[in-house]
Amino acid sequence: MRMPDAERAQLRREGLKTALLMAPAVIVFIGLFVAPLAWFFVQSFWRNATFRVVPDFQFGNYATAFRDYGGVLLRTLGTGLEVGGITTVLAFFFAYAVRFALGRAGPLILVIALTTLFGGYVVKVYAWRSLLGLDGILNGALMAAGLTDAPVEALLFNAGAVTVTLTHYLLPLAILPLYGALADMDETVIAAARDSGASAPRTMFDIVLPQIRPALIASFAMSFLLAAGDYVTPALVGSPGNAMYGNFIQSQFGLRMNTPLGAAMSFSLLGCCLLILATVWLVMRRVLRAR
Amino acid sequence: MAAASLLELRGLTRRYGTMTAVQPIDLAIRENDFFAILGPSGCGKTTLLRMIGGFVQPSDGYVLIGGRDVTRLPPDKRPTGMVFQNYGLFSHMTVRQNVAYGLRLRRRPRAEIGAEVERMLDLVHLSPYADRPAKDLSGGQKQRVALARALILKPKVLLLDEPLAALDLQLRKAMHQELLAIHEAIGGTFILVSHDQTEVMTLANRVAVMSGGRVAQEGSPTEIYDRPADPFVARFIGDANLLPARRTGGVILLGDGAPPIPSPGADAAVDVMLRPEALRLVAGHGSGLRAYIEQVVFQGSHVRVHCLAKQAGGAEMRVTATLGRDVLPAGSGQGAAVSITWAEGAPLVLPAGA
Repeated sequence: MRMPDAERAQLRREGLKTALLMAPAVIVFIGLFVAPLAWFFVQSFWRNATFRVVPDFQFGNYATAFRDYGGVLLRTLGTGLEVGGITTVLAFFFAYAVRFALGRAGPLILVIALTTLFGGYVVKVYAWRSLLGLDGILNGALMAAGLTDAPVEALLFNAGAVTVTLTHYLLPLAILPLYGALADMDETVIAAARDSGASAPRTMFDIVLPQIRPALIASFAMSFLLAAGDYVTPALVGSPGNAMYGNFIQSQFGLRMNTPLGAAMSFSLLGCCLLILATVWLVMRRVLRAR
Repeated sequence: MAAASLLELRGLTRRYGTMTAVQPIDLAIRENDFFAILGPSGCGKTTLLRMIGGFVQPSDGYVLIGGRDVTRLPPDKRPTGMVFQNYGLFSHMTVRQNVAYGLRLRRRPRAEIGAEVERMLDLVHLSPYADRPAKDLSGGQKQRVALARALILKPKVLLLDEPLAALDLQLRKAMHQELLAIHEAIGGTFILVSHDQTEVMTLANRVAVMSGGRVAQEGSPTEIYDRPADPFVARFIGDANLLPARRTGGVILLGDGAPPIPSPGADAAVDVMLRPEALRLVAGHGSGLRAYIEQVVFQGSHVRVHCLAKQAGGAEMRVTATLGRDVLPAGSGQGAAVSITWAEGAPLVLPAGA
């Protein structure tokens, strides 16, 4: 049956309205995100000559990105996995306690944890610098307690300091999706699992974790990506010897003025991260499935 | 006592701060009983059930199942199974996986689990839905999955926490029949918590009426209906006229024209309970409690007639009768004079209460 003309005109008007409403966001997204990204993707196959970029099509930049910087890439992804893993686990326990164990104090403690989001990222990095430094609070406490005579140098400017700082910064971000998922969970489901004969840990693995799997993946992905892509924290609390991939990308775009290599390294890191996320997603789906 | 009791509660109590949700309760529930705990919301019945299931720790007292003290055992170590009011299905699993879960935890052979699950799904008429995700089912279907999931573990005591409250009337009636058939088929002790007296009358062979955290009366449904212990129980189970009166010299006079009701005992204020269906109306003021019709309400198979009568003291009281349409006296309109009669033995004298 044909649609009456009036109805079709109405539909057209609705469509036009939707298009107009979305236009600004789409223009900004394409102009400021998709277009520059595409431009750098094209450049990543070009060649760098002295102070200028020569259009070409070759994989030399990618070869360099993996060959010369392969070790850094692996270490960076390792740091990302470590920080992402620790953060997600800590965030889960925190969110679980707020949801199920802390009763009325829970929401207050959640708000306190989230207020750390008000502090800027760089401020937190510097805070850890002063906490872990030679004349920092931790060393002061250790010496006051008589545990050491001289300040411990091993606290700062190493991979451990980077992990601690990044975990602290990412924790509230990772808590949010997990708390949201747990808040939506029906407590009766947990009671029913216990009633069916599942111990508390079994209930956790069979029922709770599978039901909040999307949130677990979201929390992990966010902390993993932000940690693997970070270059400020390693520069400020890490040692020059274990700079991360992002630091080298930064220097290609800056000091070395090698945009094609910088772009190729960026896309290499992006590709590896997506591969790891896909793997994590598959593993989680396999491990946390309904049995 | 004839049969040994399977479940025994001894002084079971639950306090929340200064509030006592469940006063010390002693109950003995026999094997194969379909036992109902009936009461208004907030009377402590769900807390009591949760203490039996192990989900709420009692502040005091004991839970014994088959003579064994299970008071401190967690739910997964008790021989109880629970059907929750809002189902509590594992939404990430299929119907089959939900029902099989408990047996899988017990590491039964795969073939045995499969056969048991089929049998249970058949029992609750869900075989065609076995491989649907649990979250895609309707309310009644979810309730039956919850039932099958609990029953497959052959619990000594099946706890039903308002299991049908979320279903519409037709479905609820159908589920009543199914629950009875299942109890008949597999036996076992069922404990039902409900605020719906019709449901309890239909299903249970023993009833405990709870009010304010204590058991107001325990007995068979007919005992409780015919011989309520106090005005609260009388009003909660079915409709009841509770007519205020005084006992003087072993006799109670309800009002003008009413036959004296013999009632041994000291002089006191009492409530006389008369069930609406025990009353008959006769046109005109003859022998029987003199009253005037206030309102006639058509209810399909019967009519409810609200009448106004005078107490012995002179104050007005409302008396409601439920009659078949054929026995309503001719000319029974608003304001008509009638006499209310009842069979000897119909009135029950209760201590005056709320």
